Amino acid sequence: MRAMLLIAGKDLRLRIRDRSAFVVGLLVPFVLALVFSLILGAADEGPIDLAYGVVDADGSDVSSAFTEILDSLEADGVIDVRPVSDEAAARGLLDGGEVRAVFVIPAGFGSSVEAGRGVTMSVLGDVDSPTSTAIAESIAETFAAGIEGVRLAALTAASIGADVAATIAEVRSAPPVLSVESLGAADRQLDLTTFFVAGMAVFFLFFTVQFGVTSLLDERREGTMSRLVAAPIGSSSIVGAKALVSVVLGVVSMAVLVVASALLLGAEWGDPVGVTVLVLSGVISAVGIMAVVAAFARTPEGAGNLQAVIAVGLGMLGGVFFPAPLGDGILATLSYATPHRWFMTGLGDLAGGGGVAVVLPSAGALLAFGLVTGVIAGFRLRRRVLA
Amino acid sequence: MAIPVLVVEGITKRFGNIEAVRGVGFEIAAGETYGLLGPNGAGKTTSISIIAGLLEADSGTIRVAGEELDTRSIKPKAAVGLVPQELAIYPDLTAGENLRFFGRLYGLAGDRLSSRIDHVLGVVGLADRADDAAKEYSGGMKRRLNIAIGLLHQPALLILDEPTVGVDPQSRNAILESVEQLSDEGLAVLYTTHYMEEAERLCDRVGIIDDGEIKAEGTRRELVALIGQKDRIVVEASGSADGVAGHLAKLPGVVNASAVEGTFDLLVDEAARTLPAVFAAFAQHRLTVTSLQVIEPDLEAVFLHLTGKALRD
Repeated sequence: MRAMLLIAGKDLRLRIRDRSAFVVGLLVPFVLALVFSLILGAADEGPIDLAYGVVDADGSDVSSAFTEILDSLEADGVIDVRPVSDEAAARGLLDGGEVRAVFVIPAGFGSSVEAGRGVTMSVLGDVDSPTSTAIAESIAETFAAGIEGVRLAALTAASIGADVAATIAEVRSAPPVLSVESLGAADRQLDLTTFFVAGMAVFFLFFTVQFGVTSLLDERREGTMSRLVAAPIGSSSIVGAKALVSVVLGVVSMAVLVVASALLLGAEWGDPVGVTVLVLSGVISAVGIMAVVAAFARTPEGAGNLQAVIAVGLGMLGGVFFPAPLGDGILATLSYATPHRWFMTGLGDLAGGGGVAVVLPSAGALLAFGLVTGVIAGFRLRRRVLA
Repeated sequence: MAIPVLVVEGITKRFGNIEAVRGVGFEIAAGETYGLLGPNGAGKTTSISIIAGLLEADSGTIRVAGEELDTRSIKPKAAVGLVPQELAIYPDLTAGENLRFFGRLYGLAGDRLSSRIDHVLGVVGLADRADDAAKEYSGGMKRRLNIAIGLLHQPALLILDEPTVGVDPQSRNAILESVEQLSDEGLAVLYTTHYMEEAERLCDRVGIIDDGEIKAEGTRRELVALIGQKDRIVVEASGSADGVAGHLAKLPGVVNASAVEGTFDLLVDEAARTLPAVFAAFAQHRLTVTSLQVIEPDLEAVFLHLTGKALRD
């Protein structure tokens, strides 16, 4: 252990002196995250505000059924809703930015529905909040679909001679036609700044940790490996020191990026313990993968080139460059073969408000990457040290 | 001979179809400098790599200070100081930092480490440059730092693998003086070189190695005695040298002949009797003799006698 710490200390001193680890591990990811965040953040409408108003000019059972649905969504913490006296007041609230959309239920809405006549519920939206307006429209359309279901049930009952009133009562007493349990997927998405900082951090993590494991090849090329092997220390101390340097560089760069981005860019990483678990497991996975590459490369340059290709490939496949969801296709499936995807998934889970427990699946996957590749690399590198 | 610090017995090493080391064995006592003399590719560095625990031998044993040593040994390696042929220093660290790192790796610490660093820097003449980064040193200074690291932990056995290759004359002399001093202090030294004059100056005993084998071993006097009172003739000539060495080797009284870039090296029974025939051969091949030396028997002549080729072949 003492020899391992000595070699690791020497390597860290060399890394600090040449500053390359600082540039790759801290400066570049931070600046890129800032640039991406500034450029793409300008096109983003910001956090989705689901503050709505409702004008009930009808006051019937049907319109009350709709406002009850809105109230239940508000009770679940999904939307904010406030009653508005009339359409003019509604437009005033929209113009003032106090609500993002207003449902307008006209007088005679309930009687028209019961008579089977066509009638329109309006949704007034804020042009600057298209997503909020679309969600309001979706709520209204779902309610309309429910009413249509009741109407069809009544028509069917009449055609077969059943008790129409009883049928309607039965359908209305059925579970609500509109129910929203949670907007989990939306909640679990990172804001743009956090996404880009996290994405760049994990992307450059793979370049940062390679400084440690690849230095094994540097030692061989520079001739110093012969002195290390000739010294009264085990070969595992040499290999272990290189892995330790990688881990230290990775953890330090990630920790600095997390803290700096939170303080300077307003990134929201979530529960600190969960983030720590995720960062540590992410670093271990990166060290393992980069160590395998170094173990099979012949020269430091060859290792560096291959590591760069793998880091970029995994980063792209893992979706660290684009905040768009990967969907359910083959790319989405393949993305789970990358540590990057698991890291971002873990952070997304934390953004949903969970604690350390929610990141355990992602952390487990990351550790599995690290352990499998690390064991292979360890055996191979020890053999190469003594070759 | 005193109790040996190093005992090498029958080590062999094969790389694919090439048998790089074939049954090499010798001993070195404390205070003795043993030279492995041979041309490039003779098996010197492979032998040394095995002896230093860098390379696994296919067979044979190494004992240092009574303990068996191989690549996985820990304790016996502490008794060995290695000065590899390639520079093995960290150029971005100062000489002091290089020494401090390697000293700690060998278990030195505190005042003892500091005093050893001061001592070895003095031995190699780098005391006033200890705080300079090694990358700012000349080639010779780097070589001297390379030696200082090998000496730092006061090994019982110091292995120097061609330490003067590519070194300026001043640094070379400083290195040779350091090795002489260390030997006088009781260190066992294993010194490989393909410079005959270094082997003659430094080594108490010399093993002549070629094709992975030790062809002969002994003191300079013992080795020279192997070839009797033979003379060596070195001729420089201009013109096409194709086939000339072969012709010279067949002349009466010529034991061996080799040619390297216009320089012909002959081992002969008696120079005075052989020279006319040698001149006639050069004339026959239309070569113009530009210089000629008749040299008393030395290690170079021994090497030529034993292997049929010059050291620098």
